[in-house]
Amino acid sequence: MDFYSFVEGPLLWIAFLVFLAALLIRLFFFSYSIIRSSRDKDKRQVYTLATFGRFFLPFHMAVAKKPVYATLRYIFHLCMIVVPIWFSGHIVLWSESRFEWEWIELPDAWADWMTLVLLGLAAYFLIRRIIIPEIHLNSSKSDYILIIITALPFMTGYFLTHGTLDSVSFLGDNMTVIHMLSGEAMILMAVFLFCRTRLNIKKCVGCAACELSCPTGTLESNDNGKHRIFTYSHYQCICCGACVNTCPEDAAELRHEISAKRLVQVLLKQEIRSIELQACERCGALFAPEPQMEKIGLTFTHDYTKFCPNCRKANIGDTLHQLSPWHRKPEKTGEATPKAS
Amino acid sequence: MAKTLYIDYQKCTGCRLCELVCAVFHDGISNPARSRIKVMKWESEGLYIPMSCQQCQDAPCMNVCPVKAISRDEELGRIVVDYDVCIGCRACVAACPFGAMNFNAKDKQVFKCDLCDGDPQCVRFCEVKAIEYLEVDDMSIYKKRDAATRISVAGKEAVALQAAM
Repeated sequence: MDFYSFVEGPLLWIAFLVFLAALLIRLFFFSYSIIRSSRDKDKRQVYTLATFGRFFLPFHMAVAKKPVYATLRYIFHLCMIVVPIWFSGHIVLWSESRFEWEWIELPDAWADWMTLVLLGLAAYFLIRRIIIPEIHLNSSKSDYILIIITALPFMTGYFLTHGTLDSVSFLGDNMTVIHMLSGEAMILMAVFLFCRTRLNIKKCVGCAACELSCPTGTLESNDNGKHRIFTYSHYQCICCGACVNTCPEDAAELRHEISAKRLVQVLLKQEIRSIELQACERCGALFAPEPQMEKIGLTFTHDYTKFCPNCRKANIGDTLHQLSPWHRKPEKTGEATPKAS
Repeated sequence: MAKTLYIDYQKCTGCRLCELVCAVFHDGISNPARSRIKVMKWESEGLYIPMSCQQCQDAPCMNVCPVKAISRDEELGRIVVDYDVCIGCRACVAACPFGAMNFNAKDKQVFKCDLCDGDPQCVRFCEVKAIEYLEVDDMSIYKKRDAATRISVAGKEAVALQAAM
């Protein structure tokens, strides 16, 4: 058996079977973690179903923050799913296979245009990621690989149907193999593709508004000692974009993550951010995350910002106390400490 | 005309009934930690100061809110939180100079004095009338009268002291 027939036969079947199996496993793990987390929150299950319905429509919650980018992203994903399934060349292969399945074809002109749109968008996403420094700094290698692997089968498929590179010796001869290999790589990559919320370190102030907005309890924050720690459980995430929508600092981002080990780490709570809490200068109680106080300190520069809410009351009380007739008693000045009730 | 809470801390006995009444009225539990009003105590001097939201005209909580969930209700002269808009970021808690904005860690919600929609329960239950619900315009008159009384008492004491010498 030569390489071509291996790629065309067994490898393709392996890719499809792994994909199907992973789909079922992930569905099972997802249902398990959702049911587990929503035991005490009766509203969550309804919300999860509603979000599934909305998932297929272009306007989910994160759209409000970046309407243009979200629309482009939606078109990209739509093309990515529609073209491989309804492309006439693929349907012919299915009908020739042992299953003899057939379904309605997409007109070839449409498939061409959708492929071109997808490739254009992929180029845009890639260039955007490289050029804009803010996004470039937040990207890892897998972000680039993800876009390239997704675009590759479409590019080779376009060359294949139009014979653009047939005159080039090696590429022209092996285009079919390259096309199938890249397609199989894309299918296998989808198995290990997860979502992950990231909180931009430069922008996030640690207010935990995202935790409150999260409908499935995916994103959680815990005040652990001097730190507020944000955790994320990837199997519970329904990618609704509520955290992105609600974040007042535009720090939350919903991004892809390729990871093989995440597939089995069902109940893992990834630590995605840890923020130091500020201590009150008067009583030492931890009352607010430091970046948030820094930001508020830009607008309000009084001394009271260093105190916790209880000590602020005591602080105002002190002022009133000094104005009151009782203050004249000399032995009491400065010693009396108010008791926070 | 807007009315507001007038707190005469010289009358306060520190019984903290207002705290209980406030928590019961708003949350249905008698837990002073859920109260919108707090009595600060200087036990050794017998000084008790009830502290509540000042309903500031240019409120820091209103200015700091990233989603504009806090607004001014001119009719009752109060600052109100719109819980449908509120995202729970607690910036208002961190900004309030009076510590009057509180956060309820169980329901994950901020809460503040809302003047009980025009019928403050703390005023209703305060035995010694340390908290009163008065027109804003009248307040300055009460304060002037208060200060005048104190000066006249102090004057009489001085006269008495001089006579004694």
